[in-house]
Amino acid sequence: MPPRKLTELLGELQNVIASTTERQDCYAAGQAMSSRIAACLPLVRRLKVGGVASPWQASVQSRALEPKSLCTVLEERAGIDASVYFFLGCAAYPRGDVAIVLHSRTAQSVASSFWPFDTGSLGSHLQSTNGSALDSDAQDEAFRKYWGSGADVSQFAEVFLAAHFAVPIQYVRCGQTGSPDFPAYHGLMSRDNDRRAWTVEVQAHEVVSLAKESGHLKTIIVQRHQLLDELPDDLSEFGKVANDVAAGVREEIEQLCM
Amino acid sequence: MHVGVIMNLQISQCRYVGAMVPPAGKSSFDETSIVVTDGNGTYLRVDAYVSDSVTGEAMTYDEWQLLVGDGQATQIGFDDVKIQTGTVLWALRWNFEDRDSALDDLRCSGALIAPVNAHAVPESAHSNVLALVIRPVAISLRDKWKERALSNAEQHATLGRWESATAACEQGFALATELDARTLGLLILSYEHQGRLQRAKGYLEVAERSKGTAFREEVQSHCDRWGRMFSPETTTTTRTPGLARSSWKTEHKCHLEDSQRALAA
Repeated sequence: MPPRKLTELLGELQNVIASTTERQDCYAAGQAMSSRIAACLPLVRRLKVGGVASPWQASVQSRALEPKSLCTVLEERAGIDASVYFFLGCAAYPRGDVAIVLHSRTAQSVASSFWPFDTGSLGSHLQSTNGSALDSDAQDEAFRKYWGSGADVSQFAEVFLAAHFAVPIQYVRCGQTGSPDFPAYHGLMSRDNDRRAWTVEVQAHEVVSLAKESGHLKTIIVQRHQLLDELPDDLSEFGKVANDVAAGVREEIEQLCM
Repeated sequence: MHVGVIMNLQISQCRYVGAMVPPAGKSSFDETSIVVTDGNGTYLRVDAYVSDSVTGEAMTYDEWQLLVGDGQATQIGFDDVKIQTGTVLWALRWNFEDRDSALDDLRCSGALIAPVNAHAVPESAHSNVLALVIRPVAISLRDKWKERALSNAEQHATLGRWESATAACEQGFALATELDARTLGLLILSYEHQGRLQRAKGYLEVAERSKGTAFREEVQSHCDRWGRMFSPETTTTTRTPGLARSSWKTEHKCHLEDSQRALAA
């Protein structure tokens, strides 16, 4: 089963924007800034630090992010064999001493998909706006209905940001908990107000090279400078130390976008 | 429980169960937060101590076991540990130079809250040493060890032993409590002397990305200063044209005096 066409996804989003004058006006006012921000939103993968065989050390040693074949049931049903997970424009996964930040163009150059929420939360923390839990069919439906192609994620984000935020950069600035200015257009919300209910997830379905010449890698943010020792010499120039990894990512994106 | 939920627990209710530090890692020193439990199924990665309570990310027993299982955390058995405000875990790895002397310092400092624990490094003859310490009490030792490492690095560099200088410098860097320009400057210089130009240049980029252009310039200036001290013949032309040999000797003396003062403090 393929992802849906961008025109279909945007059509549904536009219908929600048109539903109230306030949302329409806000969208019109924020569109230009939203376009500028969406064009440079990077892909962010937050990782935990572990032993020698941990994902982060293995990734920097091999200079590659390998997709995992242990997919969720939803992904299996949709025919997705393997994925490596990112959030667009923020470190929405709340754990991990390291964040690997890739240029936005990566989504265009590798086989990838996106959803306007964290697909991993569909079976647990996401619920409909009326408070009811999502049964298996509802999860499947949401997964398929909002599935877009990674190649389209920047164009989708252009509209998505302006459709939800009076000031589109708030998408980046919002902390782990918080809501957009307008309810998420897909009608899903988090039980504990976690931003993953409305943050765009990107899945790459093939190996993403971190080698310098691939042009994907933008920054490797580490929570403490001791972790820089793990970077091979050729990746050391991408290092950045930030005590608060999520804030370090935000700062990086604001420098890029504003 | 959703990952990332921040909770508070009273210190008196907490029992130490482990820490997030991995037993493996390249840096000779690392510090990390401990993990405690309230005995009722809640586990907490301690991020801060506030008055008589701890604050941090909560997890379930299964989540904690998962972290231990895949090597992200370590479940080290320190017996009968009474958690105190400011408790953190220090790892002095096998490649920590002067480790015995450092451990003596720790034992005498009153900062240790349990005997140190040797932890074998898988598939090697080495062992790392893990110590539960009261950070506010132990932190001055970390500075002292850093200065000692930098002083060793200077001595090695003076004799042209750049491999040893780099190792000592890396230890100083690991012990620093934050990125500091002086340590980073010497580390970059030692990488340059070892022919690791990519890493030397890379760390200048790190300086700028992490703390901005002014910090990068400060690092560069320290690097130049160290360079003039150790390789005057080359650096007087490549770094600071016209600097007389007597100047770098004087500068080197001042630098050594700085280090000695810091060590004495």
